[in-house]
Amino acid sequence: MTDKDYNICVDRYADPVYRFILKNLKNEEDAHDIVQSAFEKMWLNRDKVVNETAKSYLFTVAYNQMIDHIRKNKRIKLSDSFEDESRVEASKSPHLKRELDKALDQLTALQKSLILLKDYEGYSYEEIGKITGLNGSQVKVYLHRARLQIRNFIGKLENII
Amino acid sequence: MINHNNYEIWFLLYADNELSAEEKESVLLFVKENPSLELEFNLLGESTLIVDETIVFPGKSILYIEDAEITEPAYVFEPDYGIFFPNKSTLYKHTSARYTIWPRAFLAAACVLFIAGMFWIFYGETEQQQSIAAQPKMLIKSENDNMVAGKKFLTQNTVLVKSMPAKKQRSDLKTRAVDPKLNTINIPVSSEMIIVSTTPIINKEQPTNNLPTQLYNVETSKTDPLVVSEPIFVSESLSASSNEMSVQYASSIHPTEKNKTPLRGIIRKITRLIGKDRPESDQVKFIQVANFQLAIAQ
Repeated sequence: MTDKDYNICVDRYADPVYRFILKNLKNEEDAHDIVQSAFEKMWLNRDKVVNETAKSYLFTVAYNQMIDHIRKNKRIKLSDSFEDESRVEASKSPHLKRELDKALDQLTALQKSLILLKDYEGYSYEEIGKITGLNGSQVKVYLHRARLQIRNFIGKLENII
Repeated sequence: MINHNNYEIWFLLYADNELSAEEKESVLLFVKENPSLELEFNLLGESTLIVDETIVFPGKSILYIEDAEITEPAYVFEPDYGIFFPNKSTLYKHTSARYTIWPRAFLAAACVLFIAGMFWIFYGETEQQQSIAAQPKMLIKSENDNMVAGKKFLTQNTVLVKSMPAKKQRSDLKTRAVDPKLNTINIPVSSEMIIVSTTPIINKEQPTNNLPTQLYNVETSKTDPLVVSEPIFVSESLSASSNEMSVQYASSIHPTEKNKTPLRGIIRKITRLIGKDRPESDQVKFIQVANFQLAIAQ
């Protein structure tokens, strides 16, 4: 990987990786550090990383660092300020967006990562498995379990409303 | 094919976007045919997240590599070669040769002296035994020195040996010969040569003709260089006044006599002093000369 290839990767993958980490950690500073560390690691290993696997490499490194960060700090909490952010998903109402964030926070870190990698980045089960260290079947089972959990959470709210 | 038993899996796969276009059409058709499942299908559809494009990485500019020549990351520090340790001279260690050579020389000298001493002790002793006849002076006292009436006399197995003049001794030795058959040295009968007493023999008041002295054969063997086995000579010319007797004996004439040196004499004197300190046996009576013992038959 040349420096030009690396810069292209920064253009393409810095934001997705940052979103993925930020959605998991709910902490911008931690997400910033993890993304920077992931790109730094890719630069150090640029001789081994090829362009085709650069994105997967970045997500893998960022995911592992995020898991380490979660294990160290044990401070994954729902941030009220994040809840109040004006960022909304384009095709969904603000109310649904907030409920989705709440439902997402009910999941484990692994389930949350699986949902984010699947919905945000569109990875297949096998690709998610490579990033998270699972096989395709495990990813499928865990991911469906997480979706049903979100559906049940949203369904209860809909019934209340 | 989707049915009421597996529709949930199909809905989940639809939400995961893992179905083909045809499979998606079949799912949508199944939902239309089953309106009761429409709510569940919609909830799963709403559970999917849509990418929030507004979230961007704020520190992207610092990730770019602007200089193509950069090959090392920025956090690698280069050493500052302009910084020197000011007191380097205090760290040097000077080891002079005097301190290193002297102990070695001392050890070497000690080793040489030790080896020479050991060589002389083990090999010089044999040589000395072979040249025992060449020893000019021997003064031997047994442990049985007694005093009677305040006067000293010699008891049994007591022998006092006094050397003869060197010139005369050598002239006598030259005339003696070793009998090869008997391996026995016959000492010439002479009042000045050998006097061995078995009873108190010296007393100024006693007449000299009453001295029960005996002469012994002096044999040589490999184990005991000089062994007195039987009497061969009785001397009547005892010098009673001095409690000393002049004794000359010989085993053989060894060529080493010719190799006398001042150093050899000094060494022999030292060995005599050492030999005097050796304890005598309680059972076997012997005469000790330096490192040699003359056993006396009872």
